[in-house]
Amino acid sequence: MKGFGAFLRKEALETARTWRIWVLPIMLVFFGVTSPLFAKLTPLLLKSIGTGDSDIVVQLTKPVTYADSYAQWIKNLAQVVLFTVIIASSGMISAEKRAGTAILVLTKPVSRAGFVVAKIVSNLALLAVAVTLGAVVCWAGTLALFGDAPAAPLAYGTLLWFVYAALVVSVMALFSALLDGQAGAAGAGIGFYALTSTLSAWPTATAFNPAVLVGAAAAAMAGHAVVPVGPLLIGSLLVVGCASGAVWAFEEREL
Amino acid sequence: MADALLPALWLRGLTKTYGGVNVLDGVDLTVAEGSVFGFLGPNGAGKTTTLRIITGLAKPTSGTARILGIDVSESAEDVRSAVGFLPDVPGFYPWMTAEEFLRFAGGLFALPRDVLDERVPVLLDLAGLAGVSTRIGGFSRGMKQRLGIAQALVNAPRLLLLDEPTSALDPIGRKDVLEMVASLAGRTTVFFSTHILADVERVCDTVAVLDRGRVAASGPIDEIKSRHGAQVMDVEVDAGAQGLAERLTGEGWLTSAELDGERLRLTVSDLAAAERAVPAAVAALGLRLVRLDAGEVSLEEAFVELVGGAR
Repeated sequence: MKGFGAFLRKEALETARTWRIWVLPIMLVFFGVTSPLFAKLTPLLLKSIGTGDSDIVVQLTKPVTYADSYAQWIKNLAQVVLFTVIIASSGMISAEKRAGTAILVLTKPVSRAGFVVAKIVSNLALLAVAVTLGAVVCWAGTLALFGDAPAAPLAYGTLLWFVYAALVVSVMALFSALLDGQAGAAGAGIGFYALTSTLSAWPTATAFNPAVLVGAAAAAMAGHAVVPVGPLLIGSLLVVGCASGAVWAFEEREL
Repeated sequence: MADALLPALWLRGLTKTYGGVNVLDGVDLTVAEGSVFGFLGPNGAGKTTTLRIITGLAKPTSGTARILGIDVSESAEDVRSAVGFLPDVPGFYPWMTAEEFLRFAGGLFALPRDVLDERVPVLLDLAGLAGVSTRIGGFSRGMKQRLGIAQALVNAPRLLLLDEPTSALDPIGRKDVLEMVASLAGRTTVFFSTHILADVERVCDTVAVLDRGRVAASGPIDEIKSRHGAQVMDVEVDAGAQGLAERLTGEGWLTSAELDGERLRLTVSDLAAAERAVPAAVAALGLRLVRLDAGEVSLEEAFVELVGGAR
Protein backbone atom coordinates (compact mmCIF):
# COMPACT_ATOMS: atom_id res chain seq x y z
CA MET A 1 0.00 0.00 0.00
CA LYS A 2 2.84 2.37 -0.90
CA GLY A 3 1.83 6.01 -1.15
CA PHE A 4 -1.45 5.45 0.72
CA GLY A 5 -0.89 8.21 3.29
CA ALA A 6 0.20 10.89 0.81
CA PHE A 7 -2.65 10.06 -1.55
CA LEU A 8 -5.19 10.03 1.29
CA ARG A 9 -4.02 13.53 2.30
CA LYS A 10 -4.63 14.64 -1.29
CA GLU A 11 -8.12 13.14 -1.16
CA ALA A 12 -8.88 15.02 2.07
CA LEU A 13 -7.64 18.29 0.56
CA GLU A 14 -9.65 17.64 -2.61
CA THR A 15 -12.77 17.04 -0.54
CA ALA A 16 -12.26 20.34 1.26
CA ARG A 17 -11.55 22.30 -1.95
CA THR A 18 -14.17 20.95 -4.37
CA TRP A 19 -17.91 20.26 -4.69
CA ARG A 20 -17.49 17.14 -2.58
CA ILE A 21 -17.53 19.10 0.67
CA TRP A 22 -20.94 20.55 -0.17
CA VAL A 23 -23.08 17.76 -1.60
CA LEU A 24 -23.37 15.08 1.09
CA PRO A 25 -22.82 17.22 4.21
CA ILE A 26 -25.32 19.85 3.11
CA MET A 27 -27.85 17.23 2.03
CA LEU A 28 -27.55 15.34 5.32
CA VAL A 29 -27.74 18.47 7.46
CA PHE A 30 -30.78 19.52 5.42
CA PHE A 31 -32.46 16.19 6.13
CA GLY A 32 -31.39 16.51 9.77
CA VAL A 33 -33.28 19.81 9.94
CA THR A 34 -36.32 18.84 7.87
CA SER A 35 -36.98 15.35 9.29
CA PRO A 36 -38.24 16.54 12.72
CA LEU A 37 -39.85 19.57 11.10
CA PHE A 38 -41.90 17.47 8.65
CA ALA A 39 -42.79 14.99 11.37
CA LYS A 40 -44.13 17.85 13.48
CA LEU A 41 -45.87 19.77 10.70
CA THR A 42 -47.42 16.95 8.65
CA PRO A 43 -50.24 16.19 11.13
CA LEU A 44 -50.98 19.91 11.47
CA LEU A 45 -51.17 20.23 7.69
CA LEU A 46 -53.41 17.18 7.45
CA LYS A 47 -55.68 18.53 10.18
CA SER A 48 -55.93 21.86 8.39
CA ILE A 49 -57.54 20.01 5.44
CA GLY A 50 -60.42 19.01 7.69
CA THR A 51 -61.22 22.47 9.00
CA GLY A 52 -63.70 25.05 7.80
CA ASP A 53 -66.39 24.05 5.25
CA SER A 54 -64.54 20.94 4.09
CA ASP A 55 -66.39 17.59 4.24
CA ILE A 56 -63.11 15.83 4.93
CA VAL A 57 -62.44 14.88 8.50
CA VAL A 58 -58.88 13.96 9.42
CA GLN A 59 -58.50 11.99 12.62
CA LEU A 60 -55.03 11.06 13.88
CA THR A 61 -55.10 7.83 15.86
CA LYS A 62 -51.94 8.56 17.87
CA PRO A 63 -49.90 11.63 18.65
CA VAL A 64 -46.68 12.25 16.72
CA THR A 65 -43.47 11.53 18.62
CA TYR A 66 -39.72 11.47 18.16
CA ALA A 67 -40.19 8.10 16.39
CA ASP A 68 -41.95 9.87 13.51
CA SER A 69 -39.02 12.27 13.21
CA TYR A 70 -36.54 9.35 13.18
CA ALA A 71 -38.73 7.48 10.64
CA GLN A 72 -38.54 10.49 8.35
CA TRP A 73 -34.73 10.60 8.79
CA ILE A 74 -34.17 6.93 7.90
CA LYS A 75 -36.56 7.23 4.94
CA ASN A 76 -34.39 9.99 3.54
CA LEU A 77 -31.20 8.01 4.23
CA ALA A 78 -32.62 4.90 2.59
CA GLN A 79 -33.60 6.60 -0.64
CA VAL A 80 -32.27 10.04 -1.61
CA VAL A 81 -28.98 9.77 0.29
CA LEU A 82 -28.14 6.30 -1.01
CA PHE A 83 -28.87 7.38 -4.59
CA THR A 84 -26.67 10.43 -4.08
CA VAL A 85 -23.88 8.24 -2.72
CA ILE A 86 -24.15 6.04 -5.82
CA ILE A 87 -24.04 8.97 -8.23
CA ALA A 88 -21.29 10.87 -6.36
CA SER A 89 -19.00 7.86 -6.14
CA SER A 90 -19.62 6.50 -9.64
CA GLY A 91 -16.41 8.14 -10.96
CA MET A 92 -14.36 7.37 -7.86
CA ILE A 93 -11.56 5.69 -9.83
CA SER A 94 -12.48 6.11 -13.50
CA ALA A 95 -12.61 9.93 -13.27
CA GLU A 96 -8.89 10.07 -12.34
CA LYS A 97 -8.10 7.66 -15.17
CA ARG A 98 -10.05 9.79 -17.64
CA ALA A 99 -8.51 13.07 -16.44
CA GLY A 100 -4.99 11.66 -16.71
CA THR A 101 -4.21 12.37 -13.06
CA ALA A 102 -4.01 8.64 -12.26
CA ILE A 103 -1.09 8.36 -14.71
CA LEU A 104 0.94 11.04 -12.94
CA VAL A 105 0.24 9.42 -9.56
CA LEU A 106 0.77 5.80 -10.56
CA THR A 107 4.07 6.41 -12.34
CA LYS A 108 5.43 7.32 -8.92
CA PRO A 109 6.06 4.71 -6.22
CA VAL A 110 2.37 4.41 -5.35
CA SER A 111 0.71 1.01 -5.42
CA ARG A 112 -2.62 0.66 -7.14
CA ALA A 113 -3.93 -0.91 -3.91
CA GLY A 114 -2.94 2.24 -2.03
CA PHE A 115 -4.68 4.38 -4.66
CA VAL A 116 -7.97 2.42 -4.51
CA VAL A 117 -8.06 2.00 -0.73
CA ALA A 118 -7.36 5.73 -0.20
CA LYS A 119 -10.30 6.49 -2.49
CA ILE A 120 -12.64 4.17 -0.55
CA VAL A 121 -11.45 5.40 2.85
CA SER A 122 -11.86 9.07 1.91
CA ASN A 123 -15.37 8.47 0.56
CA LEU A 124 -16.35 6.54 3.69
CA ALA A 125 -14.84 9.19 5.95
CA LEU A 126 -16.79 11.96 4.25
CA LEU A 127 -19.99 9.93 4.46
CA ALA A 128 -19.37 9.13 8.12
CA VAL A 129 -18.76 12.77 9.02
CA ALA A 130 -21.76 13.95 7.00
CA VAL A 131 -24.19 11.38 8.41
CA THR A 132 -22.97 12.02 11.98
CA LEU A 133 -23.51 15.74 11.47
CA GLY A 134 -26.97 15.13 10.02
CA ALA A 135 -27.92 12.73 12.81
CA VAL A 136 -26.84 15.22 15.50
CA VAL A 137 -28.90 17.96 13.84
CA CYS A 138 -31.87 15.58 13.57
CA TRP A 139 -31.55 14.64 17.24
CA ALA A 140 -31.32 18.30 18.32
CA GLY A 141 -34.32 19.25 16.15
CA THR A 142 -36.34 16.33 17.46
CA LEU A 143 -35.54 17.28 21.05
CA ALA A 144 -36.49 20.89 20.42
CA LEU A 145 -39.81 20.06 18.72
CA PHE A 146 -40.91 16.97 20.62
CA GLY A 147 -39.22 17.42 24.00
CA ASP A 148 -38.07 13.80 23.89
CA ALA A 149 -35.32 12.41 21.67
CA PRO A 150 -33.50 9.29 22.85
CA ALA A 151 -30.09 9.29 21.20
CA ALA A 152 -29.37 5.57 21.31
CA PRO A 153 -32.01 4.35 18.77
CA LEU A 154 -31.05 7.13 16.38
CA ALA A 155 -27.33 6.40 16.69
CA TYR A 156 -27.75 2.64 16.43
CA GLY A 157 -30.16 2.85 13.50
CA THR A 158 -27.89 5.28 11.67
CA LEU A 159 -24.94 2.96 12.28
CA LEU A 160 -26.84 -0.01 10.78
CA TRP A 161 -27.65 2.12 7.74
CA PHE A 162 -23.99 3.18 7.49
CA VAL A 163 -22.84 -0.44 7.17
CA TYR A 164 -25.07 -0.86 4.12
CA ALA A 165 -23.95 2.56 2.77
CA ALA A 166 -20.32 1.46 3.21
CA LEU A 167 -21.12 -1.57 1.10
CA VAL A 168 -22.61 0.68 -1.55
CA VAL A 169 -19.39 2.77 -1.58
CA SER A 170 -17.26 -0.35 -1.84
CA VAL A 171 -19.44 -1.71 -4.66
CA MET A 172 -19.13 1.62 -6.46
CA ALA A 173 -15.32 1.42 -6.16
CA LEU A 174 -15.49 -1.99 -7.83
CA PHE A 175 -17.75 -0.75 -10.66
CA SER A 176 -15.64 2.37 -11.12
CA ALA A 177 -12.49 0.25 -11.40
CA LEU A 178 -14.15 -2.09 -13.89
CA LEU A 179 -15.96 0.45 -16.07
CA ASP A 180 -14.57 3.57 -17.75
CA GLY A 181 -17.89 5.35 -18.01
CA GLN A 182 -19.29 7.10 -14.98
CA ALA A 183 -22.87 6.63 -16.21
CA GLY A 184 -22.31 2.89 -16.62
CA ALA A 185 -20.95 2.58 -13.07
CA ALA A 186 -23.88 4.63 -11.70
CA GLY A 187 -26.34 2.39 -13.57
CA ALA A 188 -24.67 -0.74 -12.21
CA GLY A 189 -24.77 0.76 -8.69
CA ILE A 190 -28.49 1.49 -8.97
CA GLY A 191 -28.95 -2.05 -10.25
CA PHE A 192 -27.13 -3.38 -7.18
CA TYR A 193 -29.32 -1.25 -4.90
CA ALA A 194 -32.52 -2.37 -6.65
CA LEU A 195 -31.49 -6.04 -6.56
CA THR A 196 -30.54 -6.12 -2.88
CA SER A 197 -33.62 -4.08 -1.93
CA THR A 198 -35.88 -6.45 -3.86
CA LEU A 199 -34.19 -9.44 -2.25
CA SER A 200 -34.91 -8.02 1.20
CA ALA A 201 -38.60 -8.76 0.55
CA TRP A 202 -37.72 -12.47 0.21
CA PRO A 203 -37.94 -14.04 3.69
CA THR A 204 -35.25 -16.65 3.00
CA ALA A 205 -32.74 -13.91 2.14
CA THR A 206 -33.32 -11.79 5.23
CA ALA A 207 -30.80 -13.80 7.22
CA PHE A 208 -27.88 -12.66 5.06
CA ASN A 209 -28.97 -9.82 2.74
CA PRO A 210 -27.18 -6.59 3.76
CA ALA A 211 -30.06 -4.48 2.38
CA VAL A 212 -32.09 -5.77 5.35
CA LEU A 213 -29.94 -3.40 7.45
CA VAL A 214 -31.96 -0.44 6.16
CA GLY A 215 -35.21 -1.96 7.40
CA ALA A 216 -33.49 -2.98 10.63
CA ALA A 217 -32.32 0.62 11.05
CA ALA A 218 -35.92 1.85 10.74
CA ALA A 219 -37.05 -0.73 13.29
CA ALA A 220 -34.26 0.26 15.69
CA MET A 221 -35.21 3.93 15.42
CA ALA A 222 -38.82 3.02 16.16
CA GLY A 223 -37.63 1.53 19.44
CA HIS A 224 -37.53 -2.17 18.53
CA ALA A 225 -34.62 -4.30 19.70
CA VAL A 226 -33.00 -5.61 16.52
CA VAL A 227 -29.60 -7.21 16.07
CA PRO A 228 -29.28 -8.32 12.42
CA VAL A 229 -26.12 -10.37 12.96
CA GLY A 230 -26.18 -12.16 9.59
CA PRO A 231 -26.65 -9.06 7.39
CA LEU A 232 -24.09 -7.14 9.49
CA LEU A 233 -21.52 -9.89 9.11
CA ILE A 234 -22.19 -10.50 5.43
CA GLY A 235 -22.33 -6.74 4.77
CA SER A 236 -18.97 -6.16 6.47
CA LEU A 237 -17.38 -9.08 4.62
CA LEU A 238 -18.75 -7.78 1.32
CA VAL A 239 -17.29 -4.32 2.01
CA VAL A 240 -13.84 -5.91 2.29
CA GLY A 241 -14.55 -8.28 -0.61
CA CYS A 242 -15.67 -5.53 -3.00
CA ALA A 243 -12.74 -3.31 -1.98
CA SER A 244 -10.36 -6.22 -2.70
CA GLY A 245 -12.16 -6.78 -6.00
CA ALA A 246 -11.71 -3.10 -6.88
CA VAL A 247 -7.97 -3.34 -6.14
CA TRP A 248 -7.65 -6.48 -8.25
CA ALA A 249 -9.66 -5.00 -11.14
CA PHE A 250 -7.59 -1.80 -11.11
CA GLU A 251 -4.30 -3.70 -10.94
CA GLU A 252 -5.31 -5.71 -14.00
CA ARG A 253 -6.18 -2.63 -16.04
CA GLU A 254 -3.79 -0.82 -18.36
CA LEU A 255 -3.70 2.94 -18.10
CA MET B 1 20.46 -4.20 -8.76
CA ALA B 2 20.99 -0.59 -9.82
CA ASP B 3 24.55 0.17 -10.84
CA ALA B 4 26.20 3.19 -12.42
CA LEU B 5 27.67 1.01 -15.19
CA LEU B 6 24.31 -0.40 -16.22
CA PRO B 7 22.40 1.29 -19.01
CA ALA B 8 19.70 3.67 -17.86
CA LEU B 9 17.21 1.84 -20.05
CA TRP B 10 17.49 -1.58 -21.65
CA LEU B 11 14.73 -3.08 -23.79
CA ARG B 12 14.95 -6.48 -25.42
CA GLY B 13 12.39 -8.14 -27.68
CA LEU B 14 9.60 -5.94 -26.38
CA THR B 15 6.29 -6.73 -28.04
CA LYS B 16 2.78 -5.51 -27.41
CA THR B 17 -0.26 -6.82 -29.22
CA TYR B 18 -3.71 -5.25 -29.18
CA GLY B 19 -6.48 -7.20 -30.85
CA GLY B 20 -4.09 -9.19 -33.01
CA VAL B 21 -2.15 -6.09 -34.11
CA ASN B 22 1.52 -5.85 -33.14
CA VAL B 23 1.91 -2.30 -31.86
CA LEU B 24 5.44 -3.16 -30.73
CA ASP B 25 7.22 -5.83 -32.67
CA GLY B 26 10.44 -6.75 -30.88
CA VAL B 27 11.85 -3.43 -29.69
CA ASP B 28 15.55 -3.61 -28.77
CA LEU B 29 17.05 -0.48 -27.29
CA THR B 30 19.87 0.55 -25.00
CA VAL B 31 20.07 4.03 -23.52
CA ALA B 32 23.38 4.92 -21.87
CA GLU B 33 23.24 6.72 -18.56
CA GLY B 34 23.84 10.47 -18.89
CA SER B 35 22.63 10.79 -22.47
CA VAL B 36 19.82 12.94 -23.83
CA PHE B 37 18.14 10.33 -25.96
CA GLY B 38 15.63 11.17 -28.68
CA PHE B 39 13.04 8.49 -29.33
CA LEU B 40 11.82 9.38 -32.78
CA GLY B 41 8.96 7.99 -34.75
CA PRO B 42 5.94 8.98 -36.77
CA ASN B 43 2.53 9.08 -35.09
CA GLY B 44 1.39 5.54 -34.35
CA ALA B 45 4.90 4.05 -34.42
CA GLY B 46 4.56 2.79 -30.83
CA LYS B 47 6.47 5.46 -28.87
CA THR B 48 3.77 6.04 -26.24
CA THR B 49 3.11 2.30 -25.90
CA THR B 50 6.83 1.77 -25.23
CA LEU B 51 6.77 4.45 -22.55
CA ARG B 52 3.61 3.02 -20.98
CA ILE B 53 5.36 -0.34 -20.64
CA ILE B 54 8.53 1.24 -19.25
CA THR B 55 6.52 3.11 -16.61
CA GLY B 56 4.42 0.09 -15.65
CA LEU B 57 1.16 1.54 -16.95
CA ALA B 58 0.88 -1.34 -19.43
CA LYS B 59 2.27 -4.85 -19.54
CA PRO B 60 4.29 -6.16 -22.49
CA THR B 61 3.00 -9.15 -24.42
CA SER B 62 6.59 -10.43 -24.34
CA GLY B 63 10.11 -9.15 -23.86
CA THR B 64 12.00 -7.41 -21.09
CA ALA B 65 12.30 -3.81 -19.97
CA ARG B 66 14.97 -2.89 -17.42
CA ILE B 67 15.60 0.48 -15.86
CA LEU B 68 19.02 0.84 -14.22
CA GLY B 69 19.23 -2.94 -14.24
CA ILE B 70 15.91 -3.54 -12.52
CA ASP B 71 13.22 -5.48 -14.36
CA VAL B 72 10.16 -3.24 -14.64
CA SER B 73 7.67 -6.10 -14.43
CA GLU B 74 9.24 -7.52 -11.28
CA SER B 75 9.82 -4.39 -9.17
CA ALA B 76 7.70 -1.69 -10.74
CA GLU B 77 7.44 0.43 -7.58
CA ASP B 78 11.21 0.30 -6.89
CA VAL B 79 11.91 1.25 -10.49
CA ARG B 80 9.55 4.22 -10.30
CA SER B 81 11.49 5.65 -7.35
CA ALA B 82 14.39 6.35 -9.73
CA VAL B 83 12.29 7.62 -12.64
CA GLY B 84 10.55 10.86 -13.51
CA PHE B 85 7.80 10.76 -16.11
CA LEU B 86 5.89 13.34 -18.11
CA PRO B 87 3.03 11.93 -20.21
CA ASP B 88 2.08 13.56 -23.52
CA VAL B 89 -0.98 15.21 -21.96
CA PRO B 90 -0.29 15.55 -18.23
CA GLY B 91 -3.40 15.58 -16.05
CA PHE B 92 -3.23 17.79 -12.98
CA TYR B 93 -5.69 18.52 -10.19
CA PRO B 94 -7.10 21.90 -11.26
CA TRP B 95 -7.79 22.94 -7.66
CA MET B 96 -4.11 22.72 -6.66
CA THR B 97 -1.43 25.35 -7.10
CA ALA B 98 1.89 24.46 -8.75
CA GLU B 99 3.65 24.42 -5.39
CA GLU B 100 0.99 22.19 -3.85
CA PHE B 101 1.28 19.76 -6.74
CA LEU B 102 5.06 19.56 -6.43
CA ARG B 103 4.76 18.94 -2.69
CA PHE B 104 2.10 16.31 -3.34
CA ALA B 105 4.32 14.63 -5.96
CA GLY B 106 7.25 14.71 -3.53
CA GLY B 107 5.03 13.18 -0.86
CA LEU B 108 4.28 10.25 -3.16
CA PHE B 109 8.05 9.62 -3.22
CA ALA B 110 8.03 9.89 0.58
CA LEU B 111 10.50 12.78 0.43
CA PRO B 112 11.02 14.46 3.81
CA ARG B 113 9.62 17.95 4.34
CA ASP B 114 13.07 19.62 4.57
CA VAL B 115 14.07 18.15 1.20
CA LEU B 116 10.86 19.45 -0.34
CA ASP B 117 11.34 22.87 1.28
CA GLU B 118 14.68 23.04 -0.49
CA ARG B 119 13.75 21.45 -3.81
CA VAL B 120 10.29 22.85 -4.60
CA PRO B 121 11.34 26.52 -4.96
CA VAL B 122 14.23 25.47 -7.23
CA LEU B 123 11.88 23.45 -9.45
CA LEU B 124 9.31 26.26 -9.55
CA ASP B 125 12.07 28.59 -10.64
CA LEU B 126 13.29 26.13 -13.29
CA ALA B 127 9.73 25.87 -14.63
CA GLY B 128 9.29 29.63 -14.62
CA LEU B 129 6.44 29.29 -12.13
CA ALA B 130 7.99 30.90 -9.08
CA GLY B 131 5.53 33.32 -7.54
CA VAL B 132 2.59 31.96 -9.54
CA SER B 133 -0.23 31.45 -7.05
CA THR B 134 -2.97 30.77 -9.62
CA ARG B 135 -4.53 27.32 -9.41
CA ILE B 136 -3.46 24.87 -12.12
CA GLY B 137 -6.95 24.98 -13.65
CA GLY B 138 -6.07 28.47 -14.91
CA PHE B 139 -2.71 27.49 -16.43
CA SER B 140 -1.88 27.63 -20.15
CA ARG B 141 -0.80 24.47 -21.93
CA GLY B 142 2.84 25.64 -21.82
CA MET B 143 2.69 26.30 -18.07
CA LYS B 144 1.23 22.83 -17.51
CA GLN B 145 3.94 21.25 -19.61
CA ARG B 146 6.68 23.08 -17.69
CA LEU B 147 5.04 22.08 -14.41
CA GLY B 148 4.92 18.54 -15.80
CA ILE B 149 8.68 18.53 -16.24
CA ALA B 150 9.18 20.05 -12.79
CA GLN B 151 7.04 17.35 -11.13
CA ALA B 152 8.97 14.69 -13.03
CA LEU B 153 12.17 16.06 -11.49
CA VAL B 154 10.92 16.27 -7.90
CA ASN B 155 12.62 12.99 -6.93
CA ALA B 156 15.90 13.97 -8.66
CA PRO B 157 15.44 10.98 -11.02
CA ARG B 158 18.28 9.08 -12.64
CA LEU B 159 16.08 8.63 -15.70
CA LEU B 160 13.66 11.26 -16.97
CA LEU B 161 11.05 10.02 -19.43
CA LEU B 162 9.29 12.66 -21.53
CA ASP B 163 6.51 11.67 -23.91
CA GLU B 164 6.04 14.20 -26.72
CA PRO B 165 6.69 17.14 -24.38
CA THR B 166 6.46 19.78 -27.10
CA SER B 167 3.92 18.38 -29.55
CA ALA B 168 0.99 20.62 -28.62
CA LEU B 169 2.84 23.78 -27.67
CA ASP B 170 3.11 27.11 -29.42
CA PRO B 171 6.63 28.21 -30.52
CA ILE B 172 7.35 30.06 -27.27
CA GLY B 173 6.11 27.22 -25.09
CA ARG B 174 8.16 24.80 -27.18
CA LYS B 175 11.29 26.90 -26.83
CA ASP B 176 10.83 27.10 -23.03
CA VAL B 177 10.39 23.34 -22.68
CA LEU B 178 13.39 22.57 -24.93
CA GLU B 179 15.54 24.96 -22.92
CA MET B 180 14.46 23.16 -19.75
CA VAL B 181 15.38 19.80 -21.27
CA ALA B 182 18.69 21.11 -22.60
CA SER B 183 19.56 22.44 -19.14
CA LEU B 184 19.27 18.89 -17.76
CA ALA B 185 22.00 17.49 -20.01
CA GLY B 186 24.75 15.95 -17.92
CA ARG B 187 22.62 15.97 -14.76
CA THR B 188 20.30 13.07 -15.55
CA THR B 189 19.49 10.71 -18.39
CA VAL B 190 16.71 12.10 -20.54
CA PHE B 191 14.60 9.85 -22.77
CA PHE B 192 12.59 12.12 -25.01
CA SER B 193 9.93 10.76 -27.37
CA THR B 194 8.80 12.96 -30.22
CA HIS B 195 7.96 13.17 -33.88
CA ILE B 196 9.40 16.70 -34.16
CA LEU B 197 12.84 16.22 -35.66
CA ALA B 198 14.02 19.77 -35.07
CA ASP B 199 13.52 19.29 -31.31
CA VAL B 200 15.66 16.18 -31.32
CA GLU B 201 18.43 17.86 -33.32
CA ARG B 202 18.38 20.72 -30.87
CA VAL B 203 18.65 18.87 -27.55
CA CYS B 204 19.54 15.20 -28.09
CA ASP B 205 22.91 13.55 -28.54
CA THR B 206 21.65 10.05 -29.34
CA VAL B 207 18.53 8.88 -31.15
CA ALA B 208 16.53 5.81 -32.01
CA VAL B 209 14.03 5.79 -34.84
CA LEU B 210 10.95 3.67 -34.23
CA ASP B 211 8.93 2.59 -37.23
CA ARG B 212 5.84 0.38 -37.06
CA GLY B 213 6.84 -1.05 -33.69
CA ARG B 214 10.48 -1.74 -34.53
CA VAL B 215 13.67 0.19 -33.97
CA ALA B 216 14.82 1.06 -37.49
CA ALA B 217 18.06 2.72 -36.38
CA SER B 218 19.77 3.76 -33.18
CA GLY B 219 22.95 5.65 -32.35
CA PRO B 220 24.55 9.11 -32.14
CA ILE B 221 22.76 11.67 -34.33
CA ASP B 222 25.76 12.29 -36.63
CA GLU B 223 26.17 8.56 -37.19
CA ILE B 224 22.48 8.15 -38.07
CA LYS B 225 22.66 11.09 -40.47
CA SER B 226 25.74 9.82 -42.28
CA ARG B 227 24.49 6.25 -42.36
CA HIS B 228 20.96 6.93 -43.52
CA GLY B 229 20.76 10.44 -44.92
CA ALA B 230 21.31 11.03 -48.61
CA GLN B 231 23.43 14.15 -49.23
CA VAL B 232 22.35 16.86 -51.57
CA MET B 233 24.31 19.18 -53.84
CA ASP B 234 22.73 22.20 -55.52
CA VAL B 235 24.40 23.38 -58.75
CA GLU B 236 23.47 26.44 -60.81
CA VAL B 237 25.04 27.35 -64.17
CA ASP B 238 24.40 30.27 -66.55
CA ALA B 239 23.21 27.95 -69.34
CA GLY B 240 23.45 24.29 -70.39
CA ALA B 241 22.26 22.65 -67.17
CA GLN B 242 20.53 19.95 -69.26
CA GLY B 243 23.88 19.03 -70.85
CA LEU B 244 25.56 18.97 -67.44
CA ALA B 245 22.90 16.62 -66.12
CA GLU B 246 23.41 14.30 -69.10
CA ARG B 247 27.19 14.33 -68.60
CA LEU B 248 26.89 13.44 -64.91
CA THR B 249 24.38 10.62 -65.50
CA GLY B 250 26.07 7.31 -64.88
CA GLU B 251 28.52 8.60 -62.27
CA GLY B 252 28.80 6.10 -59.45
CA TRP B 253 28.26 8.70 -56.72
CA LEU B 254 25.07 10.15 -58.30
CA THR B 255 21.78 8.82 -56.94
CA SER B 256 19.45 11.21 -58.75
CA ALA B 257 19.40 14.57 -60.53
CA GLU B 258 16.48 17.01 -60.64
CA LEU B 259 16.54 19.76 -63.24
CA ASP B 260 14.84 23.09 -62.55
CA GLY B 261 15.68 25.66 -65.25
CA GLU B 262 19.43 26.15 -65.02
CA ARG B 263 19.54 24.65 -61.54
CA LEU B 264 20.37 21.05 -60.73
CA ARG B 265 19.69 19.29 -57.44
CA LEU B 266 21.95 16.27 -57.20
CA THR B 267 21.38 13.58 -54.60
CA VAL B 268 24.75 11.97 -53.98
CA SER B 269 26.13 9.04 -52.09
CA ASP B 270 29.74 10.32 -51.95
CA LEU B 271 29.90 14.06 -51.39
CA ALA B 272 33.70 14.32 -51.75
CA ALA B 273 33.64 12.63 -55.16
CA ALA B 274 30.81 14.90 -56.30
CA GLU B 275 32.67 17.99 -55.13
CA ARG B 276 35.60 17.01 -57.34
CA ALA B 277 33.62 15.86 -60.38
CA VAL B 278 30.98 18.58 -60.74
CA PRO B 279 33.30 21.60 -61.18
CA ALA B 280 35.41 19.51 -63.56
CA ALA B 281 32.32 18.67 -65.67
CA VAL B 282 31.22 22.34 -65.68
CA ALA B 283 34.67 23.38 -66.89
CA ALA B 284 34.81 20.61 -69.52
CA LEU B 285 31.46 21.79 -70.96
CA GLY B 286 32.64 25.42 -70.95
CA LEU B 287 29.80 26.54 -68.67
CA ARG B 288 29.92 29.31 -66.08
CA LEU B 289 29.30 28.10 -62.53
CA VAL B 290 26.90 30.47 -60.74
CA ARG B 291 26.41 28.51 -57.49
CA LEU B 292 27.56 25.25 -55.89
CA ASP B 293 26.17 24.28 -52.49
CA ALA B 294 26.85 21.02 -50.75
CA GLY B 295 23.84 20.73 -48.46
CA GLU B 296 24.30 19.42 -44.93
CA VAL B 297 22.45 16.23 -44.28
CA SER B 298 19.49 16.81 -42.01
CA LEU B 299 18.01 14.35 -39.56
CA GLU B 300 14.79 14.78 -41.47
CA GLU B 301 16.34 13.25 -44.57
CA ALA B 302 17.69 10.34 -42.53
CA PHE B 303 14.28 9.95 -40.88
CA VAL B 304 12.46 9.97 -44.21
CA GLU B 305 14.81 7.36 -45.59
CA LEU B 306 14.27 5.17 -42.52
CA VAL B 307 10.52 5.38 -42.19
CA GLY B 308 9.19 7.11 -45.25
CA GLY B 309 10.00 4.69 -48.06
CA ALA B 310 7.29 2.15 -47.52
CA ARG B 311 4.53 4.66 -46.68
